[in-house]
Formats: sequence, C-alpha cells, structure tokens
Amino acid sequence: MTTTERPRYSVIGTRPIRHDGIDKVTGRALYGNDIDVPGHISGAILRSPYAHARIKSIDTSRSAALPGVRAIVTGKDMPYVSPKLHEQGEGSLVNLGMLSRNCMAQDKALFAGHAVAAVAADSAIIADQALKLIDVDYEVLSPVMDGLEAMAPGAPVLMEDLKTNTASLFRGGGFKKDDEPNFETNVASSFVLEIGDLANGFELADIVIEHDYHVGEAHQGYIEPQSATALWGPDGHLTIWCSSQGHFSIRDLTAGILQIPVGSIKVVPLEIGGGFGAKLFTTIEPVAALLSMKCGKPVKITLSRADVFDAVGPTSAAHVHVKMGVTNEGRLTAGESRLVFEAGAFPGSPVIGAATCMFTPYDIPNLRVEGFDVLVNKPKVTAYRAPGAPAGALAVETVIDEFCERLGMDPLEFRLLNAAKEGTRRVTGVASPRIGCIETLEAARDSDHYRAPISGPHRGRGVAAGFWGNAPGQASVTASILADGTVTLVEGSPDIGGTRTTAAMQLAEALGIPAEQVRPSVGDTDAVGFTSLTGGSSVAFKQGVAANEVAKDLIAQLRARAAKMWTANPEDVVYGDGAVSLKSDPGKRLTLKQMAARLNETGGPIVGRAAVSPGGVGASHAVHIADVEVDPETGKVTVLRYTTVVDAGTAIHPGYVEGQMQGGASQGIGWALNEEFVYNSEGQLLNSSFLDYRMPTTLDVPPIETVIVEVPNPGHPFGVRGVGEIVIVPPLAAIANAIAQATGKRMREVPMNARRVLESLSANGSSPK
Amino acid sequence: MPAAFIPTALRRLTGNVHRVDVSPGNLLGVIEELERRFPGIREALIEDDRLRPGVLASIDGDETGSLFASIGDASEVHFVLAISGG
Repeated sequence: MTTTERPRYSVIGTRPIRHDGIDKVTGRALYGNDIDVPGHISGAILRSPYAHARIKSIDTSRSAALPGVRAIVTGKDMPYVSPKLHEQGEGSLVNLGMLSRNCMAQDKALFAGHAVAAVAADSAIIADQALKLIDVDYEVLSPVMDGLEAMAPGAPVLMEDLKTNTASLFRGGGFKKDDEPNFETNVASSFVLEIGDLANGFELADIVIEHDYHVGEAHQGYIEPQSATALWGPDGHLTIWCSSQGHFSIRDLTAGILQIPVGSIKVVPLEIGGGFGAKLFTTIEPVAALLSMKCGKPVKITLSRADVFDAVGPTSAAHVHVKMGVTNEGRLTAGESRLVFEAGAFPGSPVIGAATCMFTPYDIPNLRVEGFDVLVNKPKVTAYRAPGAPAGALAVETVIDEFCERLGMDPLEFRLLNAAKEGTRRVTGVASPRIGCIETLEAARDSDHYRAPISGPHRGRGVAAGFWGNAPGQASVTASILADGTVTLVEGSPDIGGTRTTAAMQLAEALGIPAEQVRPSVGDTDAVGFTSLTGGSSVAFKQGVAANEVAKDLIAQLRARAAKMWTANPEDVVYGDGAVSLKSDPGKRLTLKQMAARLNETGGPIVGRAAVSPGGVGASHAVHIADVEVDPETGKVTVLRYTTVVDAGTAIHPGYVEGQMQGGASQGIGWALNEEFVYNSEGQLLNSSFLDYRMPTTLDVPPIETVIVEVPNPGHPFGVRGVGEIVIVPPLAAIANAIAQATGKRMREVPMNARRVLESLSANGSSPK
Repeated sequence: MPAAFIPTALRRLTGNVHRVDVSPGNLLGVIEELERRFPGIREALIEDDRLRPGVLASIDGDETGSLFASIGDASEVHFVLAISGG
C-alpha cells in the first residue's frame, strides 16, 4: 500500500468489524425474499417466448377461473405513460414510458422473457398453473440481435415510432412527436465528442493503428434474484418491501409508472445480495403493486434465476472501432473511436461511459468519439460496474500495447510518458482536476508483481490502465446522541460493500470517537430524507460529506449545552478528540459520553441532521497487471497472478477497498475469459443458469493482489474517491495483452474463451512463446 | 472572465465557435447570454426551466444539474453528458 499526502486520522484507515457483519454471517439479515408480510400471496410473471412478436390478444379467462387466483395484470392495466422525448421523467436518462413498457409489454413483446402478464394467487404453485392458462395470441416477427445489423437498412424495427435523438447532447431515446415524419430506425441516440484537430493529430503520427473489437454482454452475477412485496392499503397508500440499489429511486419510478403521487408510497429497503448496477431501476415493483391493488392483499414476486438471466438485463454488447496515432518517440497524437452499443429492447445503453472514459488516462490533444445507442431484441441492458468503460478500455489499451511492441517501449513507461494529469483536457473538453493517474502507474511499475520476472512457455504478462469519473448525488442523514454516548446514524443508502460502516467511520472520525460508538442503519423512504442511488461509486463519497456535516451539527449543539452548564459563551467552548472543553479553563472538559448522560438536564435530546448535494467528485484511475498461461492444445487461459492498483483517494476502510478491488478484478477476469450470453437464431437465451453461464470460481482466480494508492480528493472532507466501479475497467484489456504476450496473437473479441483462443492460434499458424 | 465551451453537437448554432467569453453570475445567466448571441442554444440545453435530462454542466470540473450554480470570474463552463454509474 502506498500513501501520499494523507493527514493523520484515528478512525479512517482502520479496519473495524462491520456493524452488520454478525447479522450477515449468522443469516439473521433480511433480504428481499425473507420478508413475509402477514397474509401475503404469491405473484408470478408470464414471459414472452418470442424475441419479437406482436401481441394480438391476451385471454385471461381460463386463468381467472382457476380457484386460488386473486388477480391478473396485463399491459392494459398499466397506466399510459408517454415515451415521447419531450415528456421524459426527471431522473437522469430514464424515460418512464419506456421503463413502464419494459415492466409489462404493451402491443409488442420485444425480447424473449419480456413480461406480458402477471398473476397473484394463494400459492406459488397455483400462480404457476394460472400462468399456463393465459392464452396469448402472438404474431411472431423476425428479431434483430446485433447492434450493427440493427443499424443496417432493412433490419427489423423494434419500435415504429422511435426517433433518433441527435438534437442536443445525448438523451435516452423516445418516440417521435405526433407531427414529426415517420422514419423507421433502431438507433435511439447518437452523439459526437471531439477536441483538437483530429486530421492534424494523425498527420503528426509516425504509426497509426486501427482495429475493430466486439465485447459480448455479460451478466452482473449477483447472488440474490430480485424480490418485491407490495401492499396497496385500503387508504390508497402503497408500501413496498424490496432490495434495490436505491429505495428512493424505486419509490419515484413506481410513482411515475403507476401515475400516483410519490407521497402515497413508502419503500422499505432490505439487505441486498449484490447488484453491481442491475438493481438501480424498478422492474417488478409496479407489477406487484398493481396485483395488490386488484386483490387487496400483499403480493410478493420473487424472480427465478432463469428470470434474472432472461429478463432483467445484463450489460451491453458493444462494437468498438478505434484508431490511434503515435510518434516514434512514443507520444500519442490522436485517437478516434466509433462506438455501437446495444441498448437491448429499450433505449439507454452505457455508450456514454465508454465514450468519456476510454482515452481519459492519457494526454491526447486530438480526439473524436462517435457513439450510437441501438435497440436489439434482447433484454433492456442495465448498468454493470463502470458501465461501458471496460469495452472502451479494451480497445485503447490493446492498441497502446501494440504501440509499445512496435516502439520497443515498456508498457508502463509508455503510459507514464503519456499519462493524464491535472489540467489535461478530456474528450469532453473538461480539464482534469487533481487525479492519481501517474501515481497508480508508478505504483504498478514499482510493485512486487511487475518487478518479478515471468518465464516459461506459453506465458505472458499484460498491463492496462483505466479511468472512471464517479458520481456525486444527494444524501440525507440524521444522527442522535443516546444517553450512553452511542450515536445512531440513520442514512438512506442501501448498503453494498460495507457502506454503513464507511459512513459510520467518517462520522466517528469527525466526532473523535471510536467507530463502534456509532450505530448506523438504513432508513426507509419515510424515515430519512431523499438519498440518491447506491451507484456511480457515490456512497462513501456523499455519505462522508453528510456524516461530516451532521457531525458539525451535533458538535454545535454539544458546545451550546456545555456553555449552558459552564455559564460560558458557546464561542469559548471547543470540541476536539471526542470532548468539549473550555478555552479559558482547560480543566473543564467533558467527553461526548459524559455530555450524553446530561442531556435531559441541559435541554433534552440532541439530534443532528444533514442534507447534502455535494460537488467535488474525485475521479478514479487504476492499473492492472495480469500473468497468464495459455494451453496451446485446448486454448484454455489460466490466470497465474493478478495485481490491481487503484487510487482510492483516502481508503476509509482499507479492507472494503481491497474487497472492491478483488471483486471487480474477479468479475473482469470472468468477463474476459468465459462469460457471455448465448442466443439461438430465434433470439432465445440458451444459457440462463449459472451452470451454463460460466462465472469464475475460487479455483479459476488466483489470489488478487491489491495496491491501494491514496491521492486524496481535494473536493471531499476526507479525500474520498469512489472505488466500486473503476476496478472492472482494466481487466479485459490486461488479459488480452497478456494473451498476446503469451501467444503472439491479438484477441479482439470478448470473451476470450478457449474456443476463440484456439481459433486464433490456428489462424495463420500459432507463434506461442 | 468566465468562458463557456460549446459541445460539438451545438456548434452548428454557434458557427463552429467552441469557446465563448461570458459574464459571471449563475449558469442560467450564462445560457441566457449564449442564447442572445446564438439563438436556439437555450432550447437545446433547457427544457421545462431545467437542464435537459441527460445534460449536465461542468463548472470548474464539478458537474451540476442546477441552473443556479455559481459562475465565478474565471470559471470554465462545459456542457457534458450525464453518465449513469453502476
């Protein structure tokens, strides 16, 4: 671990046991499917077997007649929500009309697995039987399953009214306005970003390399399938219990889809068994709510693993074309890319993430990126850690590796020569603030792993860098001082990766007390103020700002109470090291615990509050090093050693940062080598189970070595930068570069599974080292 | 003097001018000033009195969706794409 510029902290940087640890390891923690609301019944969803079909009619009469069936919902029961561009919802790129149609199909089923009806019944068995009695008359249409094919003239069109949005910067696509001409397309949005003079940049180059890449869609692989219980009460108030990456988002989106007031919904967050971006937005909650409204009972819907694969959405498959130029001295002069990202059946791929991140680790004065968001007959994609960035990094980082080969330069020294630093212009035109790009490259260069030689036949080492911008967001917290000195902290971020504890640690640091003296919990939407998603690597950042602010509020109140006790001016009372003291009489000192015991005498409870929407987000950089061995007989790639270097700004709990680094690297290794959705020619998914969708196990991944770099973010009170997403940006490229070193063959299609590696070795003869 | 940088997609409205000197104040004031010089740019950036969905302003490196964000004497204003994280 390398540390730079960091102040001395007493709590931050330590490794306390997580506050929710005992509940989780003993099985007492309650996840989505653990909630059994008294009297609840079972919900189930009927899904289209066809990837593209017009729904001519749905007859539910036989199903409704089955004893035990309490309610049935089809697209006709969903309130109309406009998907027109000018009527989008307020939430980032979410188009509520499209989201509603993703929850329940209207006139067309747009992917195999698209929900077409739902049933609530007295038992799960009856609900499943009832689904089989629903008669859907489909007109089966030809599907289009690839982004480039979907852009070609004559391709099947998913939405006849879709309008390509190019008018502004970028928006999730939507339907055209009624008075606009008809022009059928599957391109929801397109955009161009550019800085400098691209033509001049390539003229300055001595070497120009360009290639095409394809990255298949990968699933986030979270353990817990989605589960939601909804109770529509007789008073018109709706309560939803679910696990998600943002219960305020679930509340607001459900309100928008059902066209009911936000104030009539309460969402109770439950523990979340992984999300990685897939649980940001609502899928089943509005359906469970409508079923409950119809039958007056609590309705629980829990997806099967097959449902999760078929219907909820992996990350995007992407076609990436990249062209880059470099001088003989190793200076990058120009970069250009064309990105075609599949959105699935509804607009909103992560093409922007790829476009804005792919060149950002480097100081390249001339850049142009063109992006396309394209509909295909697959599930609507969802986010997956640093959405879009891994595919972009694969292209840029492997071209850089080729430059290094051609120029005979060390890959890390080449990157250091071209590294972005404070002031470097990104493709958006924005100048980089203080970042840790150089520091992560230096830490990788100086690591035990990179300094150790790699030898043996068919072995190679690859490195890759990565960038992710991270997100800010809003956070609200309250904190109360109990009589024994415990400080309770109620916050609104669902806890993924130990974020309760990192919030508690930052509050403890600000108050000068041990982390164990703070008891954090996650409040429901009525119990705490609005808090944005647990996503974008934002939680440790924004909750740290909120914790620091609420600490100031508590301290101000403690100082006033002490002043009252000592008949002093509050300005003469100072707070430090967990105690108030009197400047003019240092003998007068009371710890927070001692003050807590005197609350009733000095004015009653002390409750602090903070509601923040902070700026100052710190971007993250990472460098990964991978050693692999390739079996020339089978094409199997074995990862021998792997190191991940990440700038965390300040590692609040280093153990959790390491966990993110190791988890992200493992997911990246799986995506690089094995994971892929496989569809048949009709657009049906063939590997919707963990048996056939091959994620790495502990036997496939070596111990992931971690190097935490700390270049504090000047925009955060404790220097925090997000670490949850950057960790998955470099692995695809690092492993591709390692395979190239081992075999002499460049892999440009992910996953680089045994079949593809073997094919590459067979093509024009292999040249394994 | 603060400067507003015009994104590629909107340079058709500015005659390919990519950097414009503007007055300090707030983001709404900057956009109104741009509109006076380059008609149509307001509609491209603002919808229903807010920044359009998917559009953020980067002011001195900090991204914001608020039209009331302060613009200092030497601020740099960029209009950027909102990124959805995971």
